[in-house]
Amino acid sequence: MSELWYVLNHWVTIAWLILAAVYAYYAVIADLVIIVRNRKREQESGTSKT
Amino acid sequence: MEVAAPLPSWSIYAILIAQGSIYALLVWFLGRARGKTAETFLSGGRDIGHGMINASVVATWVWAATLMISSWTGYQYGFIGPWWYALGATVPLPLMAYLGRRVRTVMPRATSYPEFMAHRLDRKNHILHSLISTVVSLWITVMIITGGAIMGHAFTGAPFWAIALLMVIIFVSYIPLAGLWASILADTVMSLMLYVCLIIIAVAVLVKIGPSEIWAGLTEVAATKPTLQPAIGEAEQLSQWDGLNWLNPAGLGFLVVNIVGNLGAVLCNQTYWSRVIGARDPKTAFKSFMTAALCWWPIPLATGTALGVAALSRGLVVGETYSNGDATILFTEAEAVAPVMAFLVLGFAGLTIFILAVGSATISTGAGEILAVTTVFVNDVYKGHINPKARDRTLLVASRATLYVIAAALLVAVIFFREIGFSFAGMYQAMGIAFSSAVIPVIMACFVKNTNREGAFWAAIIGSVCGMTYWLATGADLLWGVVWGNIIVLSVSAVIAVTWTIMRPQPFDFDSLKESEGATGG
Repeated sequence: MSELWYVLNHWVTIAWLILAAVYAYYAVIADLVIIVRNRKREQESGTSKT
Repeated sequence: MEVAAPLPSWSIYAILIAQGSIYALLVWFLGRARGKTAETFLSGGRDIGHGMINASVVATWVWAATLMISSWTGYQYGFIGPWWYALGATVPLPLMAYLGRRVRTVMPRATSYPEFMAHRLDRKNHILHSLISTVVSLWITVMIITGGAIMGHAFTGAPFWAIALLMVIIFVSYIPLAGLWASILADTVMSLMLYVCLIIIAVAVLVKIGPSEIWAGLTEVAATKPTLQPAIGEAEQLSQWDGLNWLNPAGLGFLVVNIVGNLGAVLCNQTYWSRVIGARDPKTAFKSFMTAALCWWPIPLATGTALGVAALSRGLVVGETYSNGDATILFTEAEAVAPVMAFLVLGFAGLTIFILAVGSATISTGAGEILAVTTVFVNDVYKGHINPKARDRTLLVASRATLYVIAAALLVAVIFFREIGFSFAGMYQAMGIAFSSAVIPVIMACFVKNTNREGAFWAAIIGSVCGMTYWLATGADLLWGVVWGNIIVLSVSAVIAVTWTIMRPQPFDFDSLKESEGATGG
């Protein structure tokens, strides 16, 4: 295995980790937005979800 | 030579207590309403979104082993080790996506996977899978608490029993508040924290050592063939010196063990089925497990590459003491290569970050597994057989009581195994031989309408017996014995279940499951 391939391999592992983290954060924030919207809607309509 | 623990003992207590307090407070403020009925306690309300399920699957599937063993594979097999580790352990997640979507579609009210087996197959399969699911979860929990406490003891000097006790207390501090929803919320926080910890470590290795230097180190190891682990055999040493080879044979063997072993640990484990049950709908369950596979894969890959491969390239020798500034650390065993390397790169900060990551991984998985045992006991054993007419209030009390009893029993088991000197070394590789014979029956029950009930039952039992017999006959060999043992388990169970089904098909109408609920079917 050449040095170039190894360096590429190493960079791929880190880039993938960062991309995965970005996606996980994005998906959780999207969920939180939905949760907050639903809570507001429930409060406005005077109902509470268990 | 006696070397003092590099971190003070209070640091592990502080890390664990801080995490437990944050999860308990978050669950109390955001989700305690989910703990008001047994249905929401055990199912999470069946309305959890993609982001939380995705993060929860990632956190639950990151064990202490994910970080420790993936780094060990980098140290043992070179650059390809973390790839094989990650690939082998990722395979079950897409499979689970298909199985989960199928079960949520055909039986929307299911609470556990043994309950699905009860309605789809029969009573004996229900009992068998309840037993398998319980044993899988207990085995995993004992393994991860022991691993976490051993690591905490080695690097902080805190007593083993105190760390184990604290972990169990944290499990039961927030799960009883809101059940599955609490577990998934805490997983979400842990998952996000884990990424930050691991990115810091991976980037630090990149900046402080760099891939070119690591490549030069691997080339040097291949040329000079140093003895890095005095206690291992020649075959293992050869694989370690072959660190730049894509087709490192021992590494390929590990891939097989990892695929088969992890199939059982996911597909026959209620912890992951709980994430399917808690998802908003079948589509969300499917999407979440698919993205979780892609989000999980780089965790062992980047950690193993940054810490394990870098350690191999630097020629770290097991049994030697290494220093960073004035502080020293003893490299006690190959499996501890990750924290040692984190310490060498980032000093105390690196070790603390790594312990934080392992602590998070242990708590998220342990809490999820204990809740899974509780779910199977309350839903399948108590409601299914002991008290089928139990009211919701009774089930809720039973759930909380079971949670506490299981937590106490696990603590006793962990301390007992430690006291008698039982070693969990190799248990990870041997996991597939014990559990994976049930994988083919579960897949067939989900997708093959003619699945024979007797075939599914005996395939799970005979497959495991054959694999176990072979493995024990090899003297519980952890190199090629465990590889062939895993292959035998999966092959025998597949041949029995498929042949029996072809010879005596038993057609089943999946539409009949639509309104099914409770575990008394079959």
